[in-house]
Amino acid sequence: MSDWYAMNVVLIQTTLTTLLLALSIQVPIRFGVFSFAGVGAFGIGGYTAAIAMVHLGWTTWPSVALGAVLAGVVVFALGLVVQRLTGLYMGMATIAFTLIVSVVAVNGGELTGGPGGLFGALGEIDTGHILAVVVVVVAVLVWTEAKGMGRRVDTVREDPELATAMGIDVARYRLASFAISGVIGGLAGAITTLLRSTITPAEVNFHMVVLALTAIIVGGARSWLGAFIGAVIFVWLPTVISFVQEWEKVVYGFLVAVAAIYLPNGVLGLIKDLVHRLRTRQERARMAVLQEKG
Amino acid sequence: MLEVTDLHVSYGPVRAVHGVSLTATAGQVTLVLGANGAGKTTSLRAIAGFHKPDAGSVWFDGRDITGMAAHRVVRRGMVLVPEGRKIFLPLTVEENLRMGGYAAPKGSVEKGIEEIYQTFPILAERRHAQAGLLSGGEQQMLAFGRALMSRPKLMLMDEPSMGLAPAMVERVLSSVRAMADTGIGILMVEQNAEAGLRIADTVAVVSRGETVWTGTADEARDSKAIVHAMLGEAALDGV
Repeated sequence: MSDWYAMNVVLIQTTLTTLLLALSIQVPIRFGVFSFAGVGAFGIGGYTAAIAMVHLGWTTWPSVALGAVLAGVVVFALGLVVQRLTGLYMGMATIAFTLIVSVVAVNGGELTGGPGGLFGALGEIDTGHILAVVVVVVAVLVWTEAKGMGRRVDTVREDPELATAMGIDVARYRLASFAISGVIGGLAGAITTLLRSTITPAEVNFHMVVLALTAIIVGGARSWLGAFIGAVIFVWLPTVISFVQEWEKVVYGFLVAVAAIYLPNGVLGLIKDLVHRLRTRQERARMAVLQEKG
Repeated sequence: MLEVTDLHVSYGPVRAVHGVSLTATAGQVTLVLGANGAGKTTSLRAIAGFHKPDAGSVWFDGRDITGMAAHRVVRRGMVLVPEGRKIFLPLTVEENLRMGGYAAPKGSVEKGIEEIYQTFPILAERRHAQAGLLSGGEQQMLAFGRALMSRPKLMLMDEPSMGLAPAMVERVLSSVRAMADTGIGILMVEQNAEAGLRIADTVAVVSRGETVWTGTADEARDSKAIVHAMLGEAALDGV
């Protein structure tokens, strides 16, 4: 076990940080906001934490906290500006925001290290720390998925007008999703950066949006568990399919396409379906036995 | 209780409503009649806070609520039952009612559910049934029930009988009457003028974005000519 852990520690840590990134995209989508600002938050969190360590000499966790808070505030402010947009327009605006973050990073001079990025921000972070952060984040999200709150969130997404007619302040829920997404994305960025000791503008880019989005589409968009499944799949897939060598990208694309077409609710939805079917079958068998006896 | 004066609403450059005035009173059913596109739904939505009116005023319960956000209006005691029986199909009847209790004072939810079961016994019978399995009429009653959960003083209804079988139209509208008889004010848009007039106390006729006639339901029945002119022949068949 410990051998396995030692061999795969990087993949395990990457799974956890990818989960955070995927959640930062999943949260707004669950609230009915098509926002990718979580990736921009990843950049803000990463750069802020690195700057705090390299330029200000802060220690690890205050730097991470600053990154997460600043990312949360900036994305919340973005939410105030773009909250009236819907669908594709919201998606475009928030992707633009993410690209702006990387442009600022490229042109930030000494502060951000320019196109080469920032180096030497090595934090003292181990897997246990990241796991603790993930547990706290997931606990908050489980609350937003649980019964009463979960149903309100579902209503805000599926039928904002009905939600309003029931007295729910839809705008407030949406803004909250921006703030939550910003904090989670900021945590993902700060932790990733301080683990690797470096961040470059190239990391705050469209491919991160694609990674996060495919993780939740393949895993499941309605629950943190779906994001977790997606993170596991996409972090471990390259090692599992390394035997296909240069065909890796093709296989990757094929799997995503298959999942998008045949698993509308992701792998999580598939598992839930199977469990449901199994239970119904058991239930029927039990009823049949009872009837025979009766 | 509700006093709407000279309401103007537009969608971008299109002036949908320009001069709608209405009143609604506690315990009474006010019926809003008018042809398709006359501005009835738009007026209702503007009153409930879903659209900001360009001009005019909405007074409710002695206060000016013109342009107030819709979720606040609900807390003041005015609730819109939107067109098309919007309920949560995968949830049970009782879960739907519980969702409706979101804006209700804490602790009143259980009591509210029991009261609604008394008003709509059919919902009590099917309390654990999935809402999607109810008939159209039952779903409409569930939509009423959910709206009642916020303990409204005034309910705005957009075409509650739409798409229902004739027998169900009667049942749904008589439940509207029953709700009014408990002291709730009802402002109802209804295409089915004949059935609507049977339960209404007062009537407002809206045409091309303005109120063109108001009076009691009895007067409306007698002055067929006025209503005829507004609605065309078909709407009043059999009145």
